[in-house]
Amino acid sequence: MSIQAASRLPLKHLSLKNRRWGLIFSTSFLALILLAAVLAPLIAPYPPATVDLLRVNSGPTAQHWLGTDALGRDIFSRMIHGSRTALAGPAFVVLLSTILGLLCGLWAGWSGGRIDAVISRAFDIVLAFPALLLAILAVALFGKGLIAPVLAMSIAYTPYIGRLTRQLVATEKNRQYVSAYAVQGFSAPWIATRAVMPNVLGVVGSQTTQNFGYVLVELAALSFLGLGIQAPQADWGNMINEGQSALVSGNFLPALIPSVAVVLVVVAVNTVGGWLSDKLGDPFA
Amino acid sequence: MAQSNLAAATPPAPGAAKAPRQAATALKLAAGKIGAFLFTVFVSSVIVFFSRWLVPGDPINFLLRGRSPNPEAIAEVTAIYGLDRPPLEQYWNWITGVVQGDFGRSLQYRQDVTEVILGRLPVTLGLVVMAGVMIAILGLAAGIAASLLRGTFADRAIVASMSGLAAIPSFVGAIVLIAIFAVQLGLFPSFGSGNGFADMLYHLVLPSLALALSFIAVVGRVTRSAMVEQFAREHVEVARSRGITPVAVVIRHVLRNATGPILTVSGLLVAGLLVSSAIVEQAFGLAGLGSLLVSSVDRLDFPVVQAIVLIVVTAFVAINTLVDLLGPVIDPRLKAGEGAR
Amino acid sequence: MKILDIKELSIRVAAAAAPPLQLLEKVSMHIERGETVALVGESGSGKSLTARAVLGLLPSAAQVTGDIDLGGLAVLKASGAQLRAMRRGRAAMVFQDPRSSINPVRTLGAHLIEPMMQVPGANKAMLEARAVELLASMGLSNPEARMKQYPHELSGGMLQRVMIAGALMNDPELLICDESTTALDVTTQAAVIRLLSRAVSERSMGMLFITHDLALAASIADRTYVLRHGVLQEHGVTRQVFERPVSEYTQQLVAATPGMRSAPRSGSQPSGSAGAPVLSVENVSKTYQLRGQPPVRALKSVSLAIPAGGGLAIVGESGSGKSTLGRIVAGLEHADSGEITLAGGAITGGSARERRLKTASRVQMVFQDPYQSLDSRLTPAKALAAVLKLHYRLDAKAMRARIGQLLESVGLEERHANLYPRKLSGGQRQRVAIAKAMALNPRLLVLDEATSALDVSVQAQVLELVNKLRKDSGVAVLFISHDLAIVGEICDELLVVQDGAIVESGPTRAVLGNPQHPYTQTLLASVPRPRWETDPGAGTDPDPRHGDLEPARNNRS
Repeated sequence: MSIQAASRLPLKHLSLKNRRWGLIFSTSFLALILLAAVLAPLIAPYPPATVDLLRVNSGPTAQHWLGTDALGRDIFSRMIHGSRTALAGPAFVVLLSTILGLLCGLWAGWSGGRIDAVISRAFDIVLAFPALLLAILAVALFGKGLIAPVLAMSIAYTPYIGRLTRQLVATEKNRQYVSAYAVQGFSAPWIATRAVMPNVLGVVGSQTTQNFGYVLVELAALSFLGLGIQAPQADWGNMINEGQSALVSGNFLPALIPSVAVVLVVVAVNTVGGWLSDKLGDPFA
Repeated sequence: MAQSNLAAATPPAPGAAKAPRQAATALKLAAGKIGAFLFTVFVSSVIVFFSRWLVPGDPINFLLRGRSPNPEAIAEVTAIYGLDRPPLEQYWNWITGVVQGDFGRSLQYRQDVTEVILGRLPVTLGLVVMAGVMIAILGLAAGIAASLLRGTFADRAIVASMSGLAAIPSFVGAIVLIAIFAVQLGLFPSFGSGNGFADMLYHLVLPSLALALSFIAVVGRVTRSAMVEQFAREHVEVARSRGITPVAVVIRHVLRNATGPILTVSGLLVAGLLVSSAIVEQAFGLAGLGSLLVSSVDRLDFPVVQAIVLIVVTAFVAINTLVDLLGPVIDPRLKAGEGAR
Repeated sequence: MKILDIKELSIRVAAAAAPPLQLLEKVSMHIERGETVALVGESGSGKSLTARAVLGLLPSAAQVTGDIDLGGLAVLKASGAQLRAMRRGRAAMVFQDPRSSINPVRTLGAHLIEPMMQVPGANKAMLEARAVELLASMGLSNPEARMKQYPHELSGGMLQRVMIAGALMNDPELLICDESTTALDVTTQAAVIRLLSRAVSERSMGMLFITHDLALAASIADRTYVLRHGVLQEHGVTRQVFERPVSEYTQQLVAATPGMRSAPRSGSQPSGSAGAPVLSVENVSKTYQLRGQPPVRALKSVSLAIPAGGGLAIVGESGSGKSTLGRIVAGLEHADSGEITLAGGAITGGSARERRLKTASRVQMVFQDPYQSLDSRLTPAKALAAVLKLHYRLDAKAMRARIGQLLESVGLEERHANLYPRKLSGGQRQRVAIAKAMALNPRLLVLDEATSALDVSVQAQVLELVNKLRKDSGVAVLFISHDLAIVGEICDELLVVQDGAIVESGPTRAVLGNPQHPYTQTLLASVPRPRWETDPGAGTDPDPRHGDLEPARNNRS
């Protein structure tokens, strides 16, 4: 919807030169994080949960590049391990919600009429539940952890993709090229999947990358609230939560480092998404 | 000649006959929107209430999670929540109570949910309203300024800083604001909601700002893009071609026409605002609805969770219905039920 | 006395990392008081840019040299305040699309009085009275109530009258019309043109009339300038420019303009060839029921037949149901009642797929907008391959050969085969669309306004192509158009539709030469004709204030 359209806008106004560097930086940054997540146990200098009460809130040292937290755990190692859940959760949500949204949206937009009305109404009802709220409700029902919130958020994000797909498909359906295909004897399913879908995927793809950023933030927020990934396990969100108590005593790093990581990943994902949408959105126009 | 043969078809004459019909359509449209609102809230209440049944096992055990399942407790819970009744009757009892402002009993506080919620409401309201004011003033100002300066360096600077700002989640904003303004500069408190109204406002400055930051950016961007879109419209060029002063063009032809989209997006942002307030309350130790929700989840107090979820959903849908109802006032084309823009 | 004097106006725009674009090159023109001057040219000729330059509306990126003198004001050197005063008083402009020219969220009254309200000491009541008076003189009924209406409540033709009233609010000396009637139906266009001519003669204004339509220019202008790629090709008294054009470009343009070209180069075959009709439509009706709106009867018991190889034109204004008929014939929509029979009899039996393919091989359709009717992801070669693959089993070699042959048959070269549609011009795209249709060797080709989005010279070429295809392949043509001037060049039979019903039919020449139905007569009278052919001087022109606001219609669509 218009929010997404608006949040995509700024990228278009940065000059090409800036954009290219931004893109190179973003892609390499994301690749690095991905690598760290995959190879976490091999890269991390310390186990993420090893407590060292002699070296509490140490600040950056030769042994601990990013310092230690209030329990003396190595922040760098925890960041590396935390990147796993930080990426896996959103990836799953985005994948599931995109598949569901595309299917429902295509079905609604192409059929129109009663099917469209029912699906759209269902979308409206799901949209009445903000994603994070639905995730909290899921935690209240099924307990803390990653699985329940991720499933809940997959449902919550489905209508964003679904509505967009529905609207795009409904517009495309009335375009003359669709009539032109129909006149030539192509079947409706063929036109819907082979001609209309590719024209829709670009925009949906950019929405998907945007959603990745939102979901990442919301899952981090959930563990920041203490409702997501639980304490000994390293996760950016609960690292911020735990680091907050050190804040008052002037130790900013334990909370700030995971915060910066969240922001950087979101910016990088959006940069790549913006580029992707320009590439996929209308490659031939 | 031929022209005279053209029967003078009377164009749809405006006048007395048309006005009531238009009013009737407008009323019908409004009634439809309110009906949709009621339907959505109803279905949401069903979802919220029956979600409990998704959890496998005995509902008594679900409600008593984390508490000693002695026979007295079981009997008490069964009696309070009417668990021995069929599910539909349970729902009926609950929803009729809700409509009258009775959300049932809290397990953790052993008092009425409504009382608990009312005690927490002022802080959350203060937080959301203050943030809303900041978002409206700063977001609109930034967006309008950028659109007026479109294409210049200043525009790019505003847009770039807004994209940066938009990527800052409220918990990160809270951390940074606490670090700078509370810890380093000592200008504002970082914890608690204070005593008395003025003190509360003072305590709410940083939380509101933390909450508002990313929304300021989003509203700013939406305002800018809506304005820029209008600037490109032909009727704006026509207005210029008729010697209208630049200020009048901006106010009457650009800002006026951009109001609709800005308002629509702002309505959608309310969801994020309400939910993010929980995060900010947690970060600043404020005793609001959000922190109540979190602690209730934490302490397995499901009746309170149910109530807050339903309240947030209702508030969100209500505000968007309101925006929807305002639509025809802002854009007369919506009155006729025609597509806008 | 010269109202407008443009001297050697050049405009160029510096594009980033590209040579600056020269949009206008030393254009000089002038307009006298009481004179109507036409500026004609095809799309991209710079004619609209000239109009904007006169009002000082150029973007700041444009580099302008030369001189524009508007009644003593040096426009290019004037201050912002001077320019605004000039736009409020001396010169006014009417744009192409009235629907997008008026702010949709403000009332018409607010629109009309807005510029004059900017003048200190303006009297709102007096301005409103004047606006009402002007609306009435534009032939709008119930002008007081109109002041409170919003743009969406009026039809396009009525809105354009409001725009003209707004332009006349402060008695300008110069009125600029930029394609102001292009978006209107032909009868509405005729009425608006009469209003404009009358306003010019009553007020002794000057009028700059910008259009792509030479016939229209010939019907209204005293003098004409011809512009191409920013360079003036020719100017002079309108009759002289059109009857004895000097420049080669003007000659081509005149030759391509329907109604002006000397002889119709019809490739149509004599009708009445024996055998079963290629299409017969019997008592077809179609009603659209939109939610919350009264039903629209798009077609009311329409019957027609086209003999094998024949050509039938359907002419009507927007909303007449002509396009619906085309879509039904092509199988894109279904009639509520009535029979459609294509050559070869009814298609029954077989799977849905077989029926679909069989229908497609009998009837094909070419759509109006070549920018929308091609899939932007497919090159002509790929698009043709997709169609051929669906219908025929061809090996790679035969496929290539067939694609090459098809492209050649529509006048495209091999290098076009692998270009994406965005790299093709409108005419080339329409040729691709025709090639796609002809790939199935249909017996009937439905052309739905297939040439109306094209520049005149391209239009003539595409018409010529269709005639050639008819000759070569014997395909019958159902030609749907709003333009009476071109149907004679392609079809032997003509059908006039109004409000979903056929009002007149017969051989094209007979219908055009001796129309019987009043609606046909109106349509014909509305086709722009050179002034020197209509009787000058005689005051037979009926007062445009009376009647003919919109063609008679029972329902709007």
